[in-house]
Amino acid sequence: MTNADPFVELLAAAGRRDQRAFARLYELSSARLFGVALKLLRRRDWAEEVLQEAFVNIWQHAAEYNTALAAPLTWMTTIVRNRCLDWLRRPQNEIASDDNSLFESIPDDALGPLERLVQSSVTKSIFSCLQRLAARERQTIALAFLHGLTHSELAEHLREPLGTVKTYVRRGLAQLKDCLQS
Amino acid sequence: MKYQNPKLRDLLASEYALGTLHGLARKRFERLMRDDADLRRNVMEWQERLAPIAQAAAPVNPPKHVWRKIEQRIQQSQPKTSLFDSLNFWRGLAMAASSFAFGLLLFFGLAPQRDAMPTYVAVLADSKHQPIMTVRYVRGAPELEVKVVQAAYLAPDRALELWTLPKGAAPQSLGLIPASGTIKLKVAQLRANSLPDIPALAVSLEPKGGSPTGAPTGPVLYSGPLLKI
Repeated sequence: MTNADPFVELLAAAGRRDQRAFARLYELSSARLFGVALKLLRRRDWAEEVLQEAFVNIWQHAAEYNTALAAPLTWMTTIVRNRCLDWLRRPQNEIASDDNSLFESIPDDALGPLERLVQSSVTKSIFSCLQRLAARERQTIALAFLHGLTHSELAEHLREPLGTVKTYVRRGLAQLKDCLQS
Repeated sequence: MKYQNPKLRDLLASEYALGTLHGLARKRFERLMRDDADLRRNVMEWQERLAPIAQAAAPVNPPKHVWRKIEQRIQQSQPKTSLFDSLNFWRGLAMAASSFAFGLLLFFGLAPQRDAMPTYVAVLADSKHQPIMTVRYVRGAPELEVKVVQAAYLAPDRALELWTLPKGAAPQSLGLIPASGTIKLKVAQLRANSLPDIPALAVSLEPKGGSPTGAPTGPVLYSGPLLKI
């Protein structure tokens, strides 16, 4: 996501059916995207399946990708995240995510790893904005985005009433937007 | 309608991008997005805002077999190129399939009658050369007849649209056609003297109601040369 974004060129080449460029794109981005999928799905086999689906999708739609709309990595991350969220919301998979032991693998402070990113110039604004949020709001947003928790899962994890959690999410998002626009 | 409320739209867009909008609400929202460019833009802005948070996930190298499966699947998948390329592809295929199609025309009993006005016919085939429909037009007639010989399943939110592929010009719509049965299309705009310049016809997959842009927007499913007989 720097000025000379190698992903823009690789994605454009993949759009022209260049399989070598696509292989390179995979090489450069798959670890990051696999990390995103693993965090959301918390199961390796699911994350592998979703990563595969997502990259086939990226290949099929590479020609339609528009640089003006989103940075390539944002676009690819969104494809992976949407696949993960669909996957998590399948009725047969929700049973597994109700399992409390899965929640234990989520650190209480899901934002820990975010702190070190504050230094990065590209991501500075959103992280400095996240830091301005109240701790609970910051935590709900990170848990929802990174770990794919639903409102009721958030309520359970944070041991707070559902309505309260919904307010955290709403307020947190609204404040983030205001902060990013100021 | 409540979805017109800008505050609610922004809230739904933000929760969709965050992932907390789920179940039926998520599906309903995706349906709304499909027909609402403004809402899609709203969601994209939110995705762009939140995307950097994903970097907090530590990168993990996926196992090798994932790439092998992806590679296999993209090699099997149909090339999905830009419409321009695919039209050229189809035009080429349509020409190459000429003699094959002519044989089929006889097979379908569409041979011309003596003393009749010149008749134009086309057999539209899929990418595997399977004939799907025939098109017949008698010069000067107000209508053109499309007969589906191989019925296909068509999702309720989709439509098939028939196009002329004039030489050196953009495709022109002849109208929507069914996925089975026979239909007569009014062809007031199809001037008989333009027919020699129309070497082929094609059918594209479009949203319900037909192409919103006046040009094919979906994949070209069937095509074939237009022959004067």
